[in-house]
Amino acid sequence: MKNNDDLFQLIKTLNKEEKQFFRLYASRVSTKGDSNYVRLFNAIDKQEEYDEKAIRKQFVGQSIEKFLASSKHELYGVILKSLHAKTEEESPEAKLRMLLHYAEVLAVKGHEEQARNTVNEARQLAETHELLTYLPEILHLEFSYMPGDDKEQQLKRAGAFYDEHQQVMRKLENRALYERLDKQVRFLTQNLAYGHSNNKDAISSFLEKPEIADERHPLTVMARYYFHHIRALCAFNLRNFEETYNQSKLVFELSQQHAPILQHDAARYISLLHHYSNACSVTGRMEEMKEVCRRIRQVQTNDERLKARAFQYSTNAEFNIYLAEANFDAVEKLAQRVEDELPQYRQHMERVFVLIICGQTAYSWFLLEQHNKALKWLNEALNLVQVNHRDDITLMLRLLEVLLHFELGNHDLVDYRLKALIRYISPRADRFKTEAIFIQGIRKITTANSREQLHQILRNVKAAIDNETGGDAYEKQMKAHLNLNIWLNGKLSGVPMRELRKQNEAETKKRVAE
Amino acid sequence: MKEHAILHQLIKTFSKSEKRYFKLFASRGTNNGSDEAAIRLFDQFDKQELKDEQREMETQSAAFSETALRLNDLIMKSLHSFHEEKTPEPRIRAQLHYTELLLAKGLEKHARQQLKVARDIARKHELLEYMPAILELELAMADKDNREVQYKKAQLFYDEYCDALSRLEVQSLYAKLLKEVNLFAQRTPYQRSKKNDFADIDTFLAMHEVKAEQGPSSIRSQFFFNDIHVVAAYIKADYNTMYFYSSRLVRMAQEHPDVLQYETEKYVSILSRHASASALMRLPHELLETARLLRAINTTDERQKVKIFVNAMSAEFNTCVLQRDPDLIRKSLQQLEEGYETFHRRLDSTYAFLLPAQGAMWAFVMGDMHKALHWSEIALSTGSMHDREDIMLPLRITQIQSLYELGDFEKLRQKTRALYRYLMGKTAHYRIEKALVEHIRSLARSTAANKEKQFFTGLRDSIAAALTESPDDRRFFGGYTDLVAWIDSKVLGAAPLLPLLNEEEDPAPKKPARKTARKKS
Repeated sequence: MKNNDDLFQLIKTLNKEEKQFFRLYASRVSTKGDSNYVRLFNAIDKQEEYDEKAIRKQFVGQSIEKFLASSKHELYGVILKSLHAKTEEESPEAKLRMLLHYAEVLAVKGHEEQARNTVNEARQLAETHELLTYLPEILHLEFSYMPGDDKEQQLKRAGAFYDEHQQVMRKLENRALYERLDKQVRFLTQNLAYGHSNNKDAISSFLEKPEIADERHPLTVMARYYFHHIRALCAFNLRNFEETYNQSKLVFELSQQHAPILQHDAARYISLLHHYSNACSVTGRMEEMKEVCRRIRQVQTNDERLKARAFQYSTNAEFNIYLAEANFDAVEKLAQRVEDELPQYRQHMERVFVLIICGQTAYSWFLLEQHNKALKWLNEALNLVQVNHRDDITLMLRLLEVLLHFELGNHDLVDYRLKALIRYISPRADRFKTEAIFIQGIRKITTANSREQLHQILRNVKAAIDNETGGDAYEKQMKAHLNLNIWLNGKLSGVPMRELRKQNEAETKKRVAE
Repeated sequence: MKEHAILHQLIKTFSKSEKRYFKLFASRGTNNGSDEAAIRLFDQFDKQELKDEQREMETQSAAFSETALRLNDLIMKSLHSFHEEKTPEPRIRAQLHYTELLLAKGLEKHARQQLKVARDIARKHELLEYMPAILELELAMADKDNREVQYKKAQLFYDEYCDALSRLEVQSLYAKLLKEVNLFAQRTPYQRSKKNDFADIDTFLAMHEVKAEQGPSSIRSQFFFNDIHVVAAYIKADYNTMYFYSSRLVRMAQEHPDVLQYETEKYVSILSRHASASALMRLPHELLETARLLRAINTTDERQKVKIFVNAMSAEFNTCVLQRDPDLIRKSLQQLEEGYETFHRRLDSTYAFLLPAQGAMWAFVMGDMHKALHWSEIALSTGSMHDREDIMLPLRITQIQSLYELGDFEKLRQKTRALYRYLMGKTAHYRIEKALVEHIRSLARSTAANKEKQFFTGLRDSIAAALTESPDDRRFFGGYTDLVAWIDSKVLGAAPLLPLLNEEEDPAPKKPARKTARKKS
């Protein structure tokens, strides 16, 4: 058994339509009709797990069996070609490449005028979608198919070709520079982003670079996209959330003004919407965030990875919105939807988002007092390989685990997990002060013999936290996340956490209205 | 041109295998009726069943337009699919699409493999135009790496990207310069050597990019650089230098076949230039070898087939001039006969005149007067080639000689008058031309019984003197037939066939210049 077989993997990613098209396409390649390609394809397609022995057995004595390795290799190529033929007009890049070949074929056949028209069509496509990477090739073809009658005109065209070529080179270089900076700024900010470092000097000096400081530096829409995106990322890491929002909004507006450039690449569009949604989240613009989520879910794509990405970003954002708004009906529906849809997207989701969404689902069921469901999702999250630089998520999950076992009355497990948690937080106590105080405060929670003793422990913890954080700021920050204060208040007052969250939210709205 | 005419022409260029593939492609594409109608229309076009009037009527109907549109779409798709794997550029483009498709399916390992194939092809054939797209996909795939690795990859990406761009920029500069120097060459053909006015080309050659050998940073740029010097040297009639650079180009093409031979247009251009240089340096063996290399090129490109034909023919005829080998002349005339039939519609005006003109002169030399007349009629019917006076006069003389040999004196008189008119219409004359004018005039006035003998005797002496004393006359009229020997044969009554071939030993071929690479500035 070898489920990592490339051909098997490829066949298993094909949808019905693609399979149907392949069968038609393969019959074109072979004049014999039901070609060996189709037969081998069907045999592999029927398998749940790849079993080469079964394939050999099925085609024993036939050429497929004799030359199985080469047959598989050829079939892999034919499948790719069929996918290529099927989707060639679906994306501007693929269509542009097809037009370039049409032009070459027409020129070879001696139809230079038609070739020129086709190159012109390709150029328009490249300009509409700012597909600069193909312009050198387009210019080269235009130059080759230049009409050869009027020599003065030819001389002018040669000059114009070189001038435009130079401009394209400048733009390409400028864009590549921003692509490089975009990748590099992520490295510079990764330690700051999740509190691993407070050294903001690297980002400050990065922001002083002329290409980042000067708005006139980017030469294309794509370069401007990177420019604002980089600045948003830097602002976020410098905890300047208003600037993060401003820059992210500029990116969003750019994507609306230049839809053919910034929306045709669904990956980029989803990513910029996600960053905009985060910026709305950190500045408390929930209505705007809802609109962004709606846009993320609306993105049309056949790309399985992008579907997964749209799911992870929109689900994460919606959890944040509904939890912050204390809209528990929506939270429940969303948690239910995650149960249904996560398995479908999980394979292509980023590990950190699988972790976050499992954690958010667990926390949602915890708030809804469906502790068994919460435990199932929590175990799901804790069984995943944790993401090193996101120890904030790991800590939240482990804290939730302690509280959940406490609610379920698993006191032995509470003690055991608390000891482990104390060991985990000790080296991180500076970064997670509230959590460290909370953990220290409840370490003897299972020793309380009476309700009064328990309340005393909880009151002490609450006082210590308020003393450290000043209460309100913490409340604001923890609206959508595991809120230890609410849990403490709930335990002390006997009111369910979700009710307290609703009351808090109602009071906040009233205060804002006043 | 009307759409259906284009479609018709396109179908006429289909090879057998392309037609077979089209039928398979179209018949198994969809199940609805429109493709069948398109296939039927394809067959009609292919068999030329559609007469002009019928075509006119049919094109009025909407159904025809729709079918023609569908046929055009199917034709382009089938040609695209048929040829996609055959040349590196579409292969790279297909590989880029495979990479995108596999990435979309989440099969990153597979996508990396396909992208590597694209990169290997681009590197092998030095197709720098595709490097930006390849590098951007590589960078996009780095997203799954940790951020430190991403940081390093981003730096490497940028360095390689900038390197590719700078090499592309240099390449485009040299492409532009080559175009410019080619246009210099076209502007004053054949006249420039008389004036010896090379101020513009000297200014061009003094440009830093043209002087500096270290300028070109890729094989393609080096090709452009050397080719620029070939053309510039040709314009300046500096054939030693021309031969030096064209030999270098041929060597480069042999050393880097994946870059300079796979693209037929470049390779044909390299060989053609070298053939010209070899002809000018009077190197028959190299000429013949270059013609052989030209004819060995295998291409489906109709434009290149024409270029190969004309350049190989020219090289072979030039070898005939140098070697005077009857077997070679016969073979070349046969090649002309076969190729002209296939390619004459696609020849540009210069070659449509030159090749039959040369054919006429060599057919005359071989004693085939009918063929000589046939080719000369074809050449003269292509229209006036004022800039090829070096061919025009010998061609007219050949025509007259042929008519004389055939004893068609009525036509001979007509053609002699036409030659006289042609010469009188010229503003400047070579010595031979002047002699012809004078002798034709005196022939018309003469009443002597032996006036023809007198005409030939006088003409012979004038031409012999012009060829001896005037290098320009020798250059323009000394190439094909030995006019003096022919006139001698007329005066002496000898049979004017093969003995007319110039049996005088060719001057020893000039030793090609051994240039050392120019000093790096």
